[in-house]
Amino acid sequence: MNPRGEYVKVATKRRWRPGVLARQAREVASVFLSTLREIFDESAYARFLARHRTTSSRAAYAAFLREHAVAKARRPKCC
Amino acid sequence: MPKPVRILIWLAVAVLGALAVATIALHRGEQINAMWLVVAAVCSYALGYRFYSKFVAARVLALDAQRATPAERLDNGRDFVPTNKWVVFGHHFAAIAGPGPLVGPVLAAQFGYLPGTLWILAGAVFGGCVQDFVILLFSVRRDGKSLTEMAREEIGRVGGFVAYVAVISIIVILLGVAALIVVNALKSSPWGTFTIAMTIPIALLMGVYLRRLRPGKVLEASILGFILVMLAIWGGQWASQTPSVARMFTLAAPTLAMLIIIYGFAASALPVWLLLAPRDYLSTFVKLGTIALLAVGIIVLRPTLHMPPLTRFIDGSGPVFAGKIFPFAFITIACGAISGFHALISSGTTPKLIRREPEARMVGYGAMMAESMVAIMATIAACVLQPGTYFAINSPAGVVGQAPETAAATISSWGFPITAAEMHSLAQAVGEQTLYNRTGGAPAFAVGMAHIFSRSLGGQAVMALWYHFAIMFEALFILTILDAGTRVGRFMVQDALGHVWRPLGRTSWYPSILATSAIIVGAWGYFLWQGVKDPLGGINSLWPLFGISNQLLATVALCVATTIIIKMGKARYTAVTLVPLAWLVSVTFTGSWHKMLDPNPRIGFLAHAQQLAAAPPTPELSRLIFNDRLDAVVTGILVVMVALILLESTMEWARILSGRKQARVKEAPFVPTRFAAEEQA
Repeated sequence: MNPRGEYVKVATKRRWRPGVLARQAREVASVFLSTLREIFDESAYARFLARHRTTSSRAAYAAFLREHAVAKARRPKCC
Repeated sequence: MPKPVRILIWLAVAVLGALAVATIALHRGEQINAMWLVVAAVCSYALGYRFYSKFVAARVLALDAQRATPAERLDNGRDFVPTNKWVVFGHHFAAIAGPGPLVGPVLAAQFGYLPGTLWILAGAVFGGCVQDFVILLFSVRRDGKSLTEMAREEIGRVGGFVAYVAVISIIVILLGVAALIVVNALKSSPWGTFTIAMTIPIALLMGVYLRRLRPGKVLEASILGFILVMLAIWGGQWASQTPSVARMFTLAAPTLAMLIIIYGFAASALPVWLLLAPRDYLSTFVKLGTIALLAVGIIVLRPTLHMPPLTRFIDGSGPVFAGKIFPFAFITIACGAISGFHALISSGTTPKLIRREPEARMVGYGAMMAESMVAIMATIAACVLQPGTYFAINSPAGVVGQAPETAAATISSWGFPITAAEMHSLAQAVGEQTLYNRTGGAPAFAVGMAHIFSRSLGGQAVMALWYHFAIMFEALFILTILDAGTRVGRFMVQDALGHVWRPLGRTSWYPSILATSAIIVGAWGYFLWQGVKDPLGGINSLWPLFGISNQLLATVALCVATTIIIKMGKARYTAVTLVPLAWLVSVTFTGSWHKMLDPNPRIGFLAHAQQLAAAPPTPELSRLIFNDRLDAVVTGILVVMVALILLESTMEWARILSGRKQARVKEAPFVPTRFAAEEQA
């Protein structure tokens, strides 16, 4: 917080150069893909595999679905 | 960027926004371009985000970049996961964006484009975005607690109970109304019905694909599902043109209603992985894609709005729904301006994903701005239609008459010229038998969207495909809400009944699953059936009930937020939540009073019942009279709930402000974040 009570932005400033632009485009694409993966529960499955130190398989996915089912079903979708 | 340049840029945004709003508000006589609405919205949101949300973040909430969030402290890789802010933003937006911001603005367009647009902009910037933001932050500071839990802790037992009843009411009424919209969109439409029917086996196939063939490859399965849905839309044309198949899929409203009720029950009782989850993925995929496509279509086409800024129906005599601008425009448009339902999402999954406290501003305030933009796009889609076409689609037969010539003559007599031949050729262009009396908002939105899409991509020849794409998009969207909502409601009923008899609370015990599914489906199914049988189309009575119950939940959320702000010792800033709260209370109370006691039978439930009672009694009339009285009682219960939560909150505020009670904020203790140090390193 600064003396005026405002929170301080943590992000660093970037300069716009051709190389930087390409890198930033890649970053944007990566964030977009990560968003889709999070929305579609692919990230949750990846975390599940990491937590249980196992690889993807029918059995692993079935176990993930069992763990995830109640949370997903209880999650409200808005009107 | 140097400060003077920044100031100049923001001044330019302010001037451009003011010019756009002035053009929308003051332009009379000539039609205006839809881009004025887009510019007004973008400038308003930019200013609201840059200045108002920053003020709320800094002065009222004092967001703390050094404070660890529950996602960091309680990180378990399952529910609590520190996540990139853009990912959380997308996740949150996908959860809050539903059919509400599409349907409400279309219905409210009967007043003209001006009232709806102004309410969407002001309501979102000062109400909806603030509500979502503060509830998200307060939940983050309470380890991701739900709205119901926060209401019980911060306000009292009544607050918790009202929040619980509000959630159940909104789910039941919402599901009934949403199902009615699907019925009205699909009745006598073999193409639409075929396409939507096909989405069920497609979802089941996706479920099996994910479980058996390619475990966990959801994006891949969603793309496959999307391709199959596109094929189903194309196949729908064949179905509608093949007499034997068309007969099978040409269904009357009561038959469709029964099928949807059976579907809702099955979806609630079947395993999540088989139907609910794949449908959810598929509808999210289509939803995000279509919203993006619509935005591009509007920007590319820059259509002209044919609807006037204000219509003669501001006097309350509207054919789509009866009632004056105040309070009905503000109840009809809920989700695009302020929606209590969002508070459930803001205190559900999202607070458990927020990585840094300051990110709550972008996620909470920003995602609601995006939702509000969807509502503006829906307004544009409705208002690009010729007003005569809009009213022919949205007016129930009970108001304009059954025969095409009678309906066209009635609508033309209102000053919105339309002929039966024009409506017939439009119906043919979109591949329907008729477009008259397709109440509920979805078909009008679909025609508007098809109009925009076909002029941007493919021309008039593909208008029918775009129309059915839009119908599929809305119906898929709504049926997903039906699946998910029925299940959420079922869990809530099971939680409550579990206190009475423990086995009923077990979510895996089949007798309990079937019984509680039947309770929830029976409740919304009753409202659906009532809407289907209502000669005024059902939307006239049921949509305001939905709006009132949604605003009741927003009242609970704003009461919780105001109470916490006072307890934080920031009473001087309570206007931030108190003003939207006061507005919502006045809207909800006035709307409820009109719906219960207005002497106009088109508005007041009891007056309508009285009018029906004067006619010679028949079993059908007795049922309609019962429905009216039931709706009046439901409205009365909602009003009592608003009064109770307000009373309890006000007493709590008075106790704290007068010093009779110590203000104790029930936040999780401060723990410094490690992310700040990592980012600086």
